[in-house]
Parts: sequence; C-alpha cells; structure tokens
Amino acid sequence: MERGFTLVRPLAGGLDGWVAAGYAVDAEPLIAIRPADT
Amino acid sequence: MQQLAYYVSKYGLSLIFVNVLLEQMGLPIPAIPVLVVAGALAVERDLSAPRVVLVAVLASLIADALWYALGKQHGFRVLKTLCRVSLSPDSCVRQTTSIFEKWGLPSLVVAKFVPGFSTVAPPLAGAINARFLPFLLYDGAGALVWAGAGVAAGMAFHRAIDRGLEFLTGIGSWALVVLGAALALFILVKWWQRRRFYKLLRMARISPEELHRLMDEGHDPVVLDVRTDGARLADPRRIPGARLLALSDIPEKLAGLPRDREIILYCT
Repeated sequence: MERGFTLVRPLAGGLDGWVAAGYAVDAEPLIAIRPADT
Repeated sequence: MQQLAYYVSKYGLSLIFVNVLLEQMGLPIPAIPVLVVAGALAVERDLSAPRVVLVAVLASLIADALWYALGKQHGFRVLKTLCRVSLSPDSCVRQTTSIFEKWGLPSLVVAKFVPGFSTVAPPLAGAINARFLPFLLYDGAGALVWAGAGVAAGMAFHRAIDRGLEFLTGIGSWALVVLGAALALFILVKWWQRRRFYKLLRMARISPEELHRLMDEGHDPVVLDVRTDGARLADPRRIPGARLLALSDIPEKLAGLPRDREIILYCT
C-alpha cells in the first residue's frame, strides 16, 4: 500500500502475533487516569 | 405442488429452525431464501407466518446467546477465531467493532442486515460485558425485524415464488440437485473471495520477526496501534513505542506522520 510513504504494512497476527513471537510489550494503561484531588 | 405443500407443512418449521440456527452459528448457509419461501407458502396457508417468525427468532436467540456467552468468557479472542472461519473476513472484527462502539446495543436491531456484523455482534456484546437482558431484548428485536422482513417479502412476491416452486416440483428429484448446486456455488464463490483476500493480505503484511529486526537495526519504523477503544481497554498491552491512532483519524493525521520511515499498523 503506497500513500506517499516509504511503505505502509499491517503486522501479521496483530498484537497477539507479536506477543506469541516472544517480543516485549509495554503494559501501562493507555487511558490517562486523573490524579485524585489532593 | 400438493406433495411439496405436504412436506413443507410437516417439516417446514424444523427446517427453518435448523437453517436459522446454523446460519447464526456462523455457517455459510443463508436463511433468508428459506424465510422468503416460507412467507410465500404462508399465503397459501401451508405454513403459519407468525409461527415461522417465532421459530426463526427462537433459533436466532439460541445461537446469539451462545456466542454472547463465548464472548463473555473468552473476550476478543472469540472474534479472531470467528473471523478465521468466516467466509467474509473483509467485513470482520475491525469494522464490526467500530459499528458496535458507535451505536452500542441498539445496533443489534439492524445487525442481521449487515454482512459480517450479524455473527460478530453477539460475541462482541459479551466481550465488552454488555448486560444480558438488554442484549437479549435488542437482539430479539433485531431477529424479529429480520425474520419478519424475510417472511413479508415472501408474502408480497408469493406469485413469482409459487411459479418457481412449481417448476422445481415439476423437475422432481432434480430440484434437490439444483438447490444443492446453488448452495455449493454460493459457498465456493465466498471461499474463493476469502482465499483471494487472504492472499493479498499475506503479500502485504510484515511478520513480527521482520518488524523486530527493523527495530533492532535502527530503521525506526513508525508503529501505529489502530485498535478500537474497546479492544485497547480489554488488552492494554502495546508494542513498545507504538503510537495510538484510530483508523478513522488516519486521513486527518496522515500529514503528521514521517514520510521517510516505514509505517506498520497493527490490530488485536
């Protein structure tokens, strides 16, 4: 797929494929949690 | 025609139940043609239209409740399995998840009219922990609208359908061969479309090993996490350094992405 970029490719197997291949993942929450009012 | 009417009145409801159940379980056996024919036969009083609709709704609810339970137990993994066996992979998880996140449970009312969405919506409702009773109500309403539309279409066009049935009755046992061949052709076309789609996908994809090598060698590819919000909530892990981007935002955010580096997209 070319959209003016060098190359755009989907990852085979998605995130599960990446994990199954044994590579590291970041696991921090993706949605920011507001700190409790102090 | 007399003989056909006899078989339809004797086995019609069982046939409709099994057909709808198998279709809603995900098998490529379309139920709408049978519902339309049942509607046409209901005009001649060989079948009762309300009973046909009731049986179709019941079969649909049983299959959908089972998928809901599987979705609740196994989460988004069920959707991946479903897409692997589905003959319509192009309309699978990503698209259906977006529809569901946008419209919520009321989307179940029209789900059965959207290819691919019909089978994926119930396990999706389970995966996002939707409450069972509202799920059942919306899903039942959807099944009622869907089966009712099929039967009503059959009643409206009953003359044309009767002529078709008379022709099939006239050719005797060859009718089964014609119907079997039509079903086999339908499955073959869907299977061929699926095979072609996966072939294209395989050609375009990057393997995890290749992506890891690109990162190790310092090519610094741009990795985009294009999962839906629901999928990210269900599984907050992500590939190190990945940026979050909704597929719908890509045209808008495209200008902000570096053009001299490879872009890698990933879903669940």
